[in-house]
Amino acid sequence: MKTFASVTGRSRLFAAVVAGVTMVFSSTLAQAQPITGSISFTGGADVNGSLATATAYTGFFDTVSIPTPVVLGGSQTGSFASVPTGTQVTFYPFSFLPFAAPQTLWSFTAGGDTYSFTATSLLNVTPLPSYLNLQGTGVISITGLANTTATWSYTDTGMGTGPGFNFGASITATPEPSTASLMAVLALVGGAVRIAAGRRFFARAVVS
Amino acid sequence: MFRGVKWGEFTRRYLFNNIEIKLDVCGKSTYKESTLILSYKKAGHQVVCNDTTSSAGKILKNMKTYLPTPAKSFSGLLGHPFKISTGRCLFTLVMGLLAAGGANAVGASFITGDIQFNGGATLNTGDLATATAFTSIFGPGGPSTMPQVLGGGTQTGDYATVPDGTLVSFSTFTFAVNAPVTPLWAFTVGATSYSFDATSVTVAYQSSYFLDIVGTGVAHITGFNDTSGVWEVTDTGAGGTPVFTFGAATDLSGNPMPEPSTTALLLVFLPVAWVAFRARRNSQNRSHTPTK
Repeated sequence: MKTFASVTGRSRLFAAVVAGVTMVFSSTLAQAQPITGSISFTGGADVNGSLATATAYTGFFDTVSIPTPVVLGGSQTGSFASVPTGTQVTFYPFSFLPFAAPQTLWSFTAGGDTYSFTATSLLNVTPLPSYLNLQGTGVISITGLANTTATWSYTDTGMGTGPGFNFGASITATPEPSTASLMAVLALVGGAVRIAAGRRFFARAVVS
Repeated sequence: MFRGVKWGEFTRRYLFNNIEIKLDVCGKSTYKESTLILSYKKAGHQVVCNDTTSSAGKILKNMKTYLPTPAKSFSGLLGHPFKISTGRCLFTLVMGLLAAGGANAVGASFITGDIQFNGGATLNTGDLATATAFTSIFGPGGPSTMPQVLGGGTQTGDYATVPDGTLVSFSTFTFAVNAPVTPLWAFTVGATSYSFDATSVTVAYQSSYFLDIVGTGVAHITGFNDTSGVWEVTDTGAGGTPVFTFGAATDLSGNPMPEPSTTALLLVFLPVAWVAFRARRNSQNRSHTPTK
């Protein structure tokens, strides 16, 4: 027969678990949320040669009236959904052969928030005769949100001698499983344990 | 056998390893001693091989032997074993060159230069790796806008005066098959129309992140001769992006590959045809001479 003390001890233990989970979950909620979604940019870029021989970006542009690449309309999703189409983006020149990480690729401000991306790897460089494709991973940052891993890609096309070529860029956030998600799963498990424990307690109380 | 075939009559035309082969028969003195004239044309060269046999099958069987034979003289230029003087050959050549030069001088110039465009696009599968066609091509402002001429001085040659940001109409097309796209793009600046017809479409590179397409085509500008060129399109995006960046370039610099106009071709061909006709008639006259 269960004593009052044992029942009370189990309840205290359960209460402690629930309290712990609640504390962790609350602190997670207080933390910044990860970034989701994707965004693309369009414009032009200068490279140090033809696309087949280039090793570095030396400048970026769009038109005379718009001196930088801009946010491509229809490309904003998730955390980027509120970024206005045509927002001017500052792209930073860098060398991709060789590539030195970390490398801040671009930044812009919209709605009082600052958006920026830092490449941490360059996984693929495909310099075809009339194309230049770059692809890698990095970290996207937005004011008020947690830094989040992302994939990035650059592309240019043209057979001229340069230096100017059309330019397209895209990044997609790839958030890792967050603490919040883990805590949510843990809370569900805790709830299941509590229900099971409660059923056993009442069943034994009735029997006794 | 070639019994019943009139002298100089064209008999057959064959396609052998993508080489056009014309088998002709010309007479010598009797029906039994025919001269089979085998000519073939490849990459702008025309070579003639002569054989004296009455068996067409033998000639065809030995084609591989004949094909590598280089041309020895102008006499085989048109597939007939006549002889023309060196002076007449030079005269014909000079006349042809003058005619071609004159046609070019009188006609409009060929197009040179580069032009580039930017914007966005959607694809039929929503995935760069599996897409086979563009479903829309639009401008930097989104799906309801038009692609634009890229600025930054990327317009060169005969495109140098096209204003930055000029709106361009792009045709959506399937790139899974190599089929013409007419026009690939077109725009107008004042009274001048610019357009480009793609005559070939080839996927150069395709992955989850990139789609690169290349091809050849013909550029048109009001007041200019149509000129061959190359074009490229590239897209990027990944991870379920709703649209992809779209960049395009058309290049007519360095190797404009002008297409000779019909007038120029006719002017080149007429003097050559005239000489050939005279020589052929003389040859036929000689072949009808009775054997003693």
